Amino acid sequence: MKQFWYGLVLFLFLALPPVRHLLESIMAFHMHMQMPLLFVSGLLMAPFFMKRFKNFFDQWNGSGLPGVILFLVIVLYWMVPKAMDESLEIMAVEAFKFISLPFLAGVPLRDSWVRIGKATESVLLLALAILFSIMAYLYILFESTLCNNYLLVDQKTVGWGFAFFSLCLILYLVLTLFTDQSQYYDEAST
Amino acid sequence: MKKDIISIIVILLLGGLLFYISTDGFRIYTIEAERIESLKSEKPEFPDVDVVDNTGRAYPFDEFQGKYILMTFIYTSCETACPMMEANMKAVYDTFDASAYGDDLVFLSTSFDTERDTVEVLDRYADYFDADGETWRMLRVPEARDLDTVLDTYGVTVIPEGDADYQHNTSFYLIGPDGSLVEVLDYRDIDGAVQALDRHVGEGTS
Repeated sequence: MKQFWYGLVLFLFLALPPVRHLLESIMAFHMHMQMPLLFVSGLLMAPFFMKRFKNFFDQWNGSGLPGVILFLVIVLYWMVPKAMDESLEIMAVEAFKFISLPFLAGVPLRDSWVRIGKATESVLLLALAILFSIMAYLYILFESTLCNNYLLVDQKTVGWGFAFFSLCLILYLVLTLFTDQSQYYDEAST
Repeated sequence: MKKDIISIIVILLLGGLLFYISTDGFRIYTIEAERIESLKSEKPEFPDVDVVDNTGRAYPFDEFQGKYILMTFIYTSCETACPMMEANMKAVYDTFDASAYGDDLVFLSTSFDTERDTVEVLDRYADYFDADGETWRMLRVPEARDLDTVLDTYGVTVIPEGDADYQHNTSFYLIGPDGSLVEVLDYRDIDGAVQALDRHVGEGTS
C-alpha cells in the first residue's frame, strides 16, 4: 500500500504546473524524464489496482500478454514525434499522456510481469532495445527537426538518450543470458 | 486464455484506431507535415503586409500577385543551412530558363532577422548570389507583426537559438499567383525544384 502512495505522490508532483512546465521545456527532460517517471508512477500504483480489480485482471490478462501488448502500443504511440508536439499544444493530448503512461502502460505491465515467463520478458526487453535503437538512429542522424517545439540540438540529445536506454537494456539482457539469476532469489520472493 | 485473445484483439483494434486517427491515416508523423498538408488545403491568400527589398524599394507584398514565387526564409548571419539553401536556390535560378517565363516567376529570399538584416546587409548578401534585385529579390519585413503574418501564412517556424542564431524551416516554398502555397520543396533537390517550377509555371503560361 505504501508503494501506491509513493506512486500517487509522484504522479501528482509531475502534474503540478511548474513541474510540468519545467520538464516540458527541454526535449530530453520531456522524453526521458517526464514520460518514464509517469510510467514509473503507474508501476508503483499498480499493486493497488491489481488487488482492487483482481478478478478483472485475472479474467482479461490471464496470460499477461494483453498487458504487455497494451504497454507496447502506448510506448509506441509516444514515440511518434507528432504525439509529443501535440501534448504541448493540445490539452486533451496532454491529459492523455498523464492517463496513458501510468494507467495504460505502467499498471498493465506490472500486472503482466508476474504472469509472463522469462522468455516473454526477454523478448519484450529485446523489442524495446530494438525500438530505442531505431529511435536513437533516427533522432541523432535526422537533419531536420521532427518536433516543431524543440531545437535540433535537443533532438540529438534525445537520440543519445535513446541510445543509452537501448544500451542498458542490451547489457541487462546479456547479463541475464550469461548468469544464473535464480541463485540470487529464493522462490518465495518472486 | 480465450478471453486473453479477445482482450488482445480489442487492444490492437483500439491501438490501431489511436494511431490511425493521430497520424491521419498512417501518413503524418510530425506536426510539420500536418501543417503543410493543412496549408495546402486551406489555400492562404496573399498576406497584407509591406516589404522592402535589397535595392531599398518598399511595396506591399501583393505586388507579386499574378506571379509564381519561389521563396526561402533566411537570416544573413546564418552559417549553416541558409548559405547552402541560397546556393541551391542560385543553382535553380541559373538552371531555370527564366527568359521562357519572364514575368511569371520571381525568386524571393525573405529575412526574418529584421534587426540585423538591413537593406545594405541584404544587398551585400544578394551580391554573393548574383541576385539582381528584380527576378531574384532579398526581402525584409520591417514590421514585426507583418513578419509574423508572413511566417504564419506559409507555416514557417522560427525559434531563436542562442544570441544570434535561429532555427527555422529550410525549404523552397513555391507560391502560386493567388498567394496560395503550391508546394513545399526539398531545398537539397535542385532538379526536383526545377521540375516542379517547369510543371507549375509552365502550365500557367501555355
